[in-house]
Amino acid sequence: MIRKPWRQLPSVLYALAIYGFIFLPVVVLVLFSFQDGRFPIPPLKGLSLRWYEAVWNDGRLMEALANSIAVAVGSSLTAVLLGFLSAYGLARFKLPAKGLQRALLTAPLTVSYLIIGMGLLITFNAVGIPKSLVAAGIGHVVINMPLCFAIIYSQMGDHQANIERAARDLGAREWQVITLVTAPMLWPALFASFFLSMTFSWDEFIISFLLTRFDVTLPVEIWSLLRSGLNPKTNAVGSVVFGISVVLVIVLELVVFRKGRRS
Amino acid sequence: MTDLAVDVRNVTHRYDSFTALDGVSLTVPAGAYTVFLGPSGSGKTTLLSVIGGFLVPQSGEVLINSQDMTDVAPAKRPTTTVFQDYALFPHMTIGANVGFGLRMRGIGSKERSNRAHRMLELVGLGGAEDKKPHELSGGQRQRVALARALAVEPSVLLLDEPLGALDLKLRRQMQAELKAIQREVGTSFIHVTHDQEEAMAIGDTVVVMSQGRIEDMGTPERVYLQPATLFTAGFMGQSSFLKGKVLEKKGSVIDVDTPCGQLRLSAPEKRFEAGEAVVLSIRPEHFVVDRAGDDILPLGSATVEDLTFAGAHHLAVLKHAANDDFRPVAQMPQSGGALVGSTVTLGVRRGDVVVLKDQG
Repeated sequence: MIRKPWRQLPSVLYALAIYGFIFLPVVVLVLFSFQDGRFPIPPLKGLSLRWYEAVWNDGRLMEALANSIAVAVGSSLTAVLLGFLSAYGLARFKLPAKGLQRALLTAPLTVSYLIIGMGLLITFNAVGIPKSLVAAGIGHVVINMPLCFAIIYSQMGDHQANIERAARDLGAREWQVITLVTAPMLWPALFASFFLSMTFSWDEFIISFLLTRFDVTLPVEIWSLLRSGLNPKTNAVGSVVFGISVVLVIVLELVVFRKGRRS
Repeated sequence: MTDLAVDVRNVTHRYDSFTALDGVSLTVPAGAYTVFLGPSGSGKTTLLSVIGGFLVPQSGEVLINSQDMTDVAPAKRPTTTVFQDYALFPHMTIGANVGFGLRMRGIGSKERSNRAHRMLELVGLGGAEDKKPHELSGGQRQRVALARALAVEPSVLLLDEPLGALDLKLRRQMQAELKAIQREVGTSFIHVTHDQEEAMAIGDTVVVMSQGRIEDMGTPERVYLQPATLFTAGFMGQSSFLKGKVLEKKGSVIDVDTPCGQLRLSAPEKRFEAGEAVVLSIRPEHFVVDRAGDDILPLGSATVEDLTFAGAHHLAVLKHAANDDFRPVAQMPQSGGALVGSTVTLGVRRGDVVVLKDQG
């Protein structure tokens, strides 16, 4: 093949344009979080960590950050547990209308977060559950459980069923089969679905916005900050949110990597 | 009758419209190596599942050590299973795999690792405790599965096509080892296979199954030399079949009219009526080629159609001169035998012919 570098130029430009389109907003956000001035707009007057310090010293923001972590961890653990148990039930037992049950479990994936949030708001109102972090956490379980179920269910094959059978044959009770054999075997899938849930819960705004009142999650707090106008502090906190999301995605990637290498 | 390991009574099981087991009854003596042999779909694996407790049959009973176990869960039976795909716990070490059953029985970790060690030595894998299953070869995993199943000291060990995934050489070697281990531990082994050579090599008793029924059951020698049914004669080794009709019966001697002439045969233990349709089954090594004698029944002449070299001998496909439908397969010498296209005279020793009922 004869190399014609100029031929590749359009595709290189195209690739650059795509990556620019995707990453430029984030780069700008992060860059101006270091702005040594009062406005997150060009020109860049110099680099400073003062806005990060401001975030660190803002009690409401730090509280919201802690709330977000608590909601993300709590709702993800619940979503993984419920998703795992329903996947185990559907994969291992003869159930009536299995296909329908599976469809119903995964259906919430297709419903918009706004609809789920509104539905939960109305339901919680009717039942008398007040707006709170717990309510938002329940909302996150609703959106993440179908995902956890789908990931874990896809990893439950007949080969594992045979290994569980071997455990029962050797005298294991049902709970021992689940805790000593099934869950450890599915560890990569459980881990991946937990971190994916964490990522989604961490970023989620609309459900948290509808279902929290006094204690709020970080995206909701950032939204109320934005209402008083742009300032490099919002950039700084946005960068923190982005940074943590990146860490979660990297952890997830490492898990998938490890799994890929093993098989 | 206290030394019966397994007593299966009239078990029937259907999957939708497919009958996997059709009124099966059998007894397995304690301390013996029993092999269930049959083609796929014959019900042999279903029968093993019924004994292991993975399947509750729709009717019939299963007794293990004289106790009714028909509805008892696998965990509570004195049986363990070696699965075809080994089903080792991939996240546990070999030692933890072998000790798993003991752990479920509440045995302390020290005793557990002692016994796991002894079991691994028994199967020739001493010192592999700390490895993970994926570090072992197929044959080694097979041994771990065996050690794991034997560690809980079952009264009956069930093996579901345990050698199916191994290559031929390793398979023959493992057969010998399985047999040796069975003799050493004295546990009753029930082994499922579709490989008739494996069944003959390994079994004290061979149970031949077809279409959910037991066709024949006995020592490998008896089943091979005196098969009870046409299916057994065809499945357990190779056989040529000659149809005929009983003309007359005198005690244990019968005269049979066949397209190759009238033959006087002995049929001990079997009752045939005059006029009954029968099939004569003859093994390739029982044909006598180009030789006559007092005890040899002449079967006429035949043309050699095809010759296959089988190492120790040749196998010839012949075409009978008087009967186009009779194409016997006969064993020929390793060298110096007839060539393709030549005509030979065919005979068989009287005592070697097996007379079977013609089942249609």
